[in-house]
Amino acid sequence: MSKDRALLATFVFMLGSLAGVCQSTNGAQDKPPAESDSAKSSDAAKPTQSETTKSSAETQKKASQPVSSAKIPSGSKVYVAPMGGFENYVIAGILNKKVPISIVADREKAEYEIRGSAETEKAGWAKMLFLKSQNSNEQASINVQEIKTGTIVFAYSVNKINSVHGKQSAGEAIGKHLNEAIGKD
Amino acid sequence: MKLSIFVLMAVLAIPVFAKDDNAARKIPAHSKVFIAPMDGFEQDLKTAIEKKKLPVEIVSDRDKADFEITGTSETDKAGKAKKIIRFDWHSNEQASITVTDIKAGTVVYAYSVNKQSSAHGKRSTAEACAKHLKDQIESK
Repeated sequence: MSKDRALLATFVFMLGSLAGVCQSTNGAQDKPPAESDSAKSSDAAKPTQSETTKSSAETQKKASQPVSSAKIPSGSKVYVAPMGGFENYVIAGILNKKVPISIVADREKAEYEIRGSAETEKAGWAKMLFLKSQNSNEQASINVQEIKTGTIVFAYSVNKINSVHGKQSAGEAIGKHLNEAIGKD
Repeated sequence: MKLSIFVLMAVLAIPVFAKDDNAARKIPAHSKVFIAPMDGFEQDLKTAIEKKKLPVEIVSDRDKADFEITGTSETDKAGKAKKIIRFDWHSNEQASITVTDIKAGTVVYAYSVNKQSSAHGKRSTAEACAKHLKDQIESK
């Protein structure tokens, strides 16, 4: 009986050790190349190798950053350009989501400009018959441009299938995601 | 202990002072409002504003106004499929309005509404806009 227990204990121990080995190897594989390189470079005594690994890590960091990392400051004056009527829904979405910006009617007074477009695909007879749905499909896309520099600081696109509230839903989605892009510090 | 209470009070007071610019500007009662043309929707909106007894004065001249209401409205009439399959003759309506302070040039209020199978067509969306606008004015 005690022998069986000892055998079982050794079997469990071996299984555990095998699982640990598998995890460690997988972990090494999952690590990004920059990290594994840096680990190697820490072992290596040569300064030239560590420098090269540092520079490669920096380039990888730069590549992972967005094109324009500048955030829209809180309280900025924003002008919403005409989008065939959709601009009203965007403004309503921004105010509904309490985005901390000031919307101005004159472009010259603004620091940022929101431009974009929206499309609506109304439900056809087939959708009504088979899916029993009369909701439309909505898609919209906007980009926020800094007027002085001309750089795009934020862009977002939304696609809502069977949108319950039509363009209102798309406008509110834009407001919500714009709120996250505003610098609150 | 006193210091921690002071810090807690200071942290709680931050959101009170951190109001956004749009929310700070409200529409005063008895303001002069100009309703810009919206492909006929302005008539429905005028009627709704009068019906809901909004405390504003509607003017026909933009130069005399303090605020301007601009917006858009869309009507999706019931097609044959909707009538045959759903036995529904009502249209889908959506509208959005924006109230701009003319002097300051800033948007002070905006609202959008979507009504599926609207019982009274554009009248329903216009009345929804007027109702919510009234809440904004009276919440001052």
